[in-house]
Amino acid sequence: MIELVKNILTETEDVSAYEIVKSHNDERQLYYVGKKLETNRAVSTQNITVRVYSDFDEKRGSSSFTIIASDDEASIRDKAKETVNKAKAAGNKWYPLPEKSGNINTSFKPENDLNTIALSVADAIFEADDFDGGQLNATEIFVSLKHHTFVNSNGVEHEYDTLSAEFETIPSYDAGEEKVELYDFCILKDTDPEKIKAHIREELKYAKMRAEAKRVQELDIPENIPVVISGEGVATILHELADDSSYRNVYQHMNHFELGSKVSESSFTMKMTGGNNDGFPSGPIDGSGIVKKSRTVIENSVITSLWGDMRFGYYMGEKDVTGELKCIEIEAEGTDSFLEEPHIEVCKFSAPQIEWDAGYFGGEVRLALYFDGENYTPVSGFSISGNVYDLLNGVVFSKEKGEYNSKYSGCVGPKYWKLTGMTIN
Amino acid sequence: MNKFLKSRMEDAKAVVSELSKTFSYVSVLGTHEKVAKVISSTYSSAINSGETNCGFAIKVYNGEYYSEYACNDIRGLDLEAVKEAVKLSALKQEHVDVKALNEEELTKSFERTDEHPLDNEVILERLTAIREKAQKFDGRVINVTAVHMKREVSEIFVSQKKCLNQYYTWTNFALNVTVRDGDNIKSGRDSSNNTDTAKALEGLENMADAICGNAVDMLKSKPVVPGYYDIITDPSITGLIAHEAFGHGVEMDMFVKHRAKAADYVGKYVASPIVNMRDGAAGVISSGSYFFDDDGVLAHDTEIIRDGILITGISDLLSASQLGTEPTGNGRRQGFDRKSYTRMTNTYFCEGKDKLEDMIASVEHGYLLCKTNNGMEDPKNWQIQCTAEYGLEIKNGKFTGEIVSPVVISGSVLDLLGSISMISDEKEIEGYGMCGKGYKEWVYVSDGGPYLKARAKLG
Repeated sequence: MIELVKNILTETEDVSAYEIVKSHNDERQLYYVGKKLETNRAVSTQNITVRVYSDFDEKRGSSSFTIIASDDEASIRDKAKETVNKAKAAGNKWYPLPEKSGNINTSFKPENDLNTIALSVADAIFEADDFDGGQLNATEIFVSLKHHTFVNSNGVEHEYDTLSAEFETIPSYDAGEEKVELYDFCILKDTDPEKIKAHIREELKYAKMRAEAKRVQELDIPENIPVVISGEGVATILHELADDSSYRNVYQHMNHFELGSKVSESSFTMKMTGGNNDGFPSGPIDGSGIVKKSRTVIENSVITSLWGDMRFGYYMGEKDVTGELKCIEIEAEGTDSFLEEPHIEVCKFSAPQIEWDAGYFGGEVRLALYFDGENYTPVSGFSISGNVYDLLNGVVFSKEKGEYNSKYSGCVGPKYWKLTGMTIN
Repeated sequence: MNKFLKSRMEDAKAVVSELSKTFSYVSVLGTHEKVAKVISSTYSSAINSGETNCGFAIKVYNGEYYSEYACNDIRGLDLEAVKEAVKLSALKQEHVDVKALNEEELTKSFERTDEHPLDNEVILERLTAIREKAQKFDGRVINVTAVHMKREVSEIFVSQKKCLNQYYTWTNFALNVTVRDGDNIKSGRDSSNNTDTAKALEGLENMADAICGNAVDMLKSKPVVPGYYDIITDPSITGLIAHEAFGHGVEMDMFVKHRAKAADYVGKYVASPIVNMRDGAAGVISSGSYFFDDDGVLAHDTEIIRDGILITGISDLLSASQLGTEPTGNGRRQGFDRKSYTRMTNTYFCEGKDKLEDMIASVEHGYLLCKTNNGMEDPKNWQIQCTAEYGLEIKNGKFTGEIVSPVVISGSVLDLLGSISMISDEKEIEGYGMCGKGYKEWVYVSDGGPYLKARAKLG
C-alpha cells in the first residue's frame, strides 16, 4: 500500500513533499468487575495517514487525509488531489521536512501471544488483591503490539514495533460505614509479575489509608508546613517547565523564561530525552520522523538550550533539531532530611492542576500523609495551592530517585520535592 | 448515510447471521466519522479533513461473558479467526453473572444534517478576518487562534433484532486570544457551536470582541484568597458541576462495580429541593446528541434529580442488564476499537425561578465563576474538583471590578449541591467539551444549565 501511495503522490500535481504514517495495531483488552471477567476484546486494525505539503509564494501549506478500508487507487488519487488544494489554501512560513539520516529498522515479536500476556497480567494483579478489607472494584487490562511505519519524500523510512501493557485498577477499602476508593492507571515497562504485585499492594494500602484519613481541620497542623509531592504532581510541573523552553513557545513569545535565565534558586539539571528504555514510553521517533535526540535544556537551573519539533526548530535557526521529546530527566543534589521533619506528603491528587501563565499549582488532595515529626496520619478532603514560580524557586529535592510514566511521557529524577509556601484549606 | 457503511450493511447482516450459529447474541456496530478542522492562528493556518474512527465492532455472547472484535472492515472477514481471537485460552475465567442481551425488534433510519454548511475555504477566510481583527484589538495581543471543527458521524447497528442507521453533524468554532504584558501572559477564550455551521460561525464573529476584552481584563487577575465564599456559577460552570460533581457518579456501570455512592442515594435528597437535573442524547440538541447509542439503544432524556431527590442514574445496555434496569441510551465508545461504557451525553441542571440580577444583589462577598477549565470526578467519595477560568468579585451585591484566576472549587458534592439557594430562570448548554472516564475513553459531551447560587470552598 505504501508504494502505491508514494507513486500516486509523486504523480499528483503540486505535491512538494509528503509523509505517510502507517500503524497496525493488534490488541487484547480484558475488563473485570471485581475479579470476574465482564468482557474481553480483540482489536486488529490498520491506520494510514498521509500528509501532503505544497509550496507556493515561498510558503508551505499542508493538509492530510486518511486511507480507509474501501479506498482503491482511484479514490486515493482523488483524496490526494483534494488534499493538495486544501494545502494550497493555507500557506505558512516555509520549513523543511527531516532528511534521511539513520533510518530505524527494528522488529520485535513477544514470546507469548497477546491473550497469554494479558491473562498473566491479570493473574499478577489478582494474586496481589489479597488485602484484608481492601479489594479491586474494577480492573481493565490493555496489551497492544503495534507495527509502525514512517515514510517521507526525503527518503526517511522508519519501521519498528512497540509492545505496551497498561492497566487501570480501582483499589477500594471498606471500613464499615466508610467505603472509599482511589484511581490508578499504570503503564508497564515490562510484565514482571512481582513488580505488578508490589504496585497493586501499594495502591490497596493507599485505599486503606484514605478510609482511615482524618480531615485537616481535625489535626493541629502548623501554618506554612512544607508540602511534599511526588509522581504525578512532580510530572505536572516538569512538563510545563519543559514546554516553556520549546522552540514553539519561544518562537510564539509564549515562554516565561528566556534562554540564559535562571528558573530556580535551587540547582538542578534538566535533560529532555526520547525515553528511558528504547523510547519508552513515547517511541523512538517524533511525529515528523526525526529520530529523537536528547538535549540538556537546563543546567544549574539556567536555561541553556531549546528543544522541539522540526518546524519551529527551523524557524528558531536550530541546526540540530531534537524532535518532540516527551521524557524528562532531572539531576540534582538531594537530601532526605526534610522527610524526617514535619510535612504533608501528597500521595494522591484528584488531578494536579497547573496554570503556567497564572503561576497556579495545586488541586484537591484525595490522600496525603501528615508527619508531625514522630507519627504519620493519613489526611484527605483538602486542597493545596501556591505560586508555581515561587515553589520552584525554593524546591528541595530528595536523594531517593523515582520514575513516573504516563501514556506518552515520562519523568525520572528525585522522587520527592519539598515545596514551601503552599496554602492548605 | 456514509457510502462506505451503506455498502457494508448486507455484510453486517451476513456476519450476524453466521456468528449467530455459535453465539446467542451478536451485533455489529459500524462507524464512520469525518472530521474537518480549519485553523487560522498568528503562526499557523491549515485546513485538514479526514476520516477518523472508521471501522466495526462485533459483539458476541458466548453463554458466559461478552466478547468483542474490532476491525477496519467486515467484508471478507475470516470469522473463524474472529472466534479464535476472542477465545481466552483453555484457562477458565470466572465471569460476571450476565445473560444474553434482550432487544426489541426495530428497523429505522435517522438523520440530522447541517442546514447551512460552508466550504472550508470560506470558513478559513472568515476565521482569518476574526483573527486579524483580534490581533489589532490591543497592542499586547501576542497570539490569536481561531478554529473550526465539524464532525459528521455515520453509524449502522445490526443485531439479530435490530437494523439501524444514523447520520448527524455537529460544528464547533472557538477563539483563543493570548495577551502579554512583560512576564504576565493571560488568555481569553470562548466557543460557539451548533448543528448549523453558518449560525455557529456568526456566533463566534459576534463574541470575538468580548473574548479579546476578557483576555485584556485577565491581565489584572490575581489568585483567589483560599476560603469559603458565596458563588454564582455561569452556565458553563453550572454544567461542569452537573457533569463532574454529580453526572459521573450516576453512570450505572459504576453501580455494577460498586464504585458509586449514588447507588445508596436513589430516592433520597442529594441536593437542595429547588434542584432538578437531566441527561440525555434526546434532551437537547448539542454535541452529545445522537439517535441511538453504541449499543443500538434509542436516545433518552433521563430525569436524574427531581426537586433535590435522586430519581435514577444513566446506563449502557450491559450495565442495565446486570442491574435488571432499563438501559437509558448512554452506551458510548471513544471509537469502534474501544469498549462501550455508560457515558453522559448532554447533562444539565434545569431552570429555576430567580433573576440573575437578584442573585448577584444577594451576595455579600463572593464570586461569579465563569468559563470551564476542567474538572475531575470522584464517584465513590463525592469529593469534587472543578476549575473555572476566572471569577468576578462581588461585594455587597455589586461587582468590584476585581478578577481572580484560576479558581478551583473543591469540597463535598452533597455540601455543594445542598447549598444551592437560587437558580436563574434561563439555561444555556455549551457543546464544546470532551469527557474522559478516569484518564481515558474520550467522548464528546455538552453540559450547562442556568446560573446557580451556592456556597463553596475556593482555592
